[in-house]
Amino acid sequence: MTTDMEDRLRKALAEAAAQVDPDSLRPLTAPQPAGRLVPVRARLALAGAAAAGLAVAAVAVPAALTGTTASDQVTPSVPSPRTSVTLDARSFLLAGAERAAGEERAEGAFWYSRVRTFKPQPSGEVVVSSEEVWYDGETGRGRITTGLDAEIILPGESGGAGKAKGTPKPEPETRDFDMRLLTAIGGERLSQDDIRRLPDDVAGLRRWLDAHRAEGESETGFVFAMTRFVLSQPTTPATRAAMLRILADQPGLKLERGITDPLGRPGAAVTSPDGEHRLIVDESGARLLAEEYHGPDRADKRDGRSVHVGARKGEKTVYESSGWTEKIGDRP
Amino acid sequence: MRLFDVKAELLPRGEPLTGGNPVDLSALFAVHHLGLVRLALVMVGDQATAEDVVQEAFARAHAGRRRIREPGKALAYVRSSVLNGCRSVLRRRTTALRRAVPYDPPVWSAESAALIGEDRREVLAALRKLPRRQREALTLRYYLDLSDEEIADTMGIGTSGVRSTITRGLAALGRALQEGK
Repeated sequence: MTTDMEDRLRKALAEAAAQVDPDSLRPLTAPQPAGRLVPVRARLALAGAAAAGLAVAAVAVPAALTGTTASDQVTPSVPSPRTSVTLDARSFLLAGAERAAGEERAEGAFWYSRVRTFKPQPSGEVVVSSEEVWYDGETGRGRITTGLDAEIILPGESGGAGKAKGTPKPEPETRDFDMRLLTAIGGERLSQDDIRRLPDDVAGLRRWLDAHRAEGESETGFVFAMTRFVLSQPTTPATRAAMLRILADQPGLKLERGITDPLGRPGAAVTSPDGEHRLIVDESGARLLAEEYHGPDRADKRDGRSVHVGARKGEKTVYESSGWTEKIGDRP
Repeated sequence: MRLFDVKAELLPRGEPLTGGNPVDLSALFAVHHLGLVRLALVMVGDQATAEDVVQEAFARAHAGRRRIREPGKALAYVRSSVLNGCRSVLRRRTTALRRAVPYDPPVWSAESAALIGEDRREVLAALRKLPRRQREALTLRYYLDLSDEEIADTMGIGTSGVRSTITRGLAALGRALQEGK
């Protein structure tokens, strides 16, 4: 349990640390891979690369539950094997990167996102609901509404044979908040501004990913998860393009064209070689529509102060809408 | 509300350098420079000194990079080095022979122009008066959110020592703030 003393101390340290403006840092002489003790004028472009925002208050971030379904009715995006095409994923992703790179960089006060999740229960039922979030990373102000348009999908509901098992349906709930929201990735805690400052070139982003991937973790799995993250967050068009190019370099990807996401929107799916991760993007290849997890169930677990969010086979997260707005309540 | 929708793979507690052998200090620098300067700032109180400390720590890590056998330990190594650098700065400032090097007023002092609330300043000032080990352990836990094991690695003490130091430090901090009222 967090005591008042701990809370005060955490806030005091975060506030003191926040006095360091990333843009005010002196360009420093960076160590080089080899050579003399103090390298000669090897300046790093820190502005974009130093994305390690460590000022911390609360790490809890409102956002999407990942979801899933066991129902045929809500899995129109799962194609039959006959429709799978096992080539050209790379070309498709590179074309998506080109499209992403050409998009205009948007700005606004609040980052808005609406996400619909399909979350399976042990009973076989699937809890489906949407969540809306507005968040201003500069002031910490935001609003989250959960439990929107909730429904319970019964096992085998496509045939109407399912029986209710009593899983409660989420109710809409809105909360305004004022807190620093940070995303933990690879031991770093990233603010909204840090996310916007992620490297915007392939080499820089690749270094960043290498530095944040845990020991023993599969590169492809991490790249998939990060692609989902980068495409669903307020990153720059250049960062999104770089991320798609890095994903395109992963071996063994499968591309499926002419599918729909769980909301029926047309698109294409890119699946990891092991079949566990599936990203659905629109036909331009630049916009993320949904993500599905088809690997084995994993329970939530705590490791030190980190929470490892679990996953269930068949989970789906659908990105309904996102973008910048000027005030809470507006939608892009 | 739940935690952010990042998968387990995005929340490892492991150290960030994974594939690099030898240690890729440039990547470490790019990723952690800002965070380490912020850590040093809360230890020494002013940004200019904090930047110097971190620069020295990286230079030292660069010189000793061949001795860092486990790339995963590189961040802990640099973090320890920053902590040592901060200790040296504070030692120099408190000795009679302290160097006549001016430095900005610390962020927790009344003279500082830093935008820090009064309650925060009181907490920081009380933290400053704690014994070094308690101060460092509390900063690593409540600023960097490090685990017991990570703090133990950084400070070179055992995990049980970390836990007891933090417990004592919090109690002492609470007492100091009460007495200050």
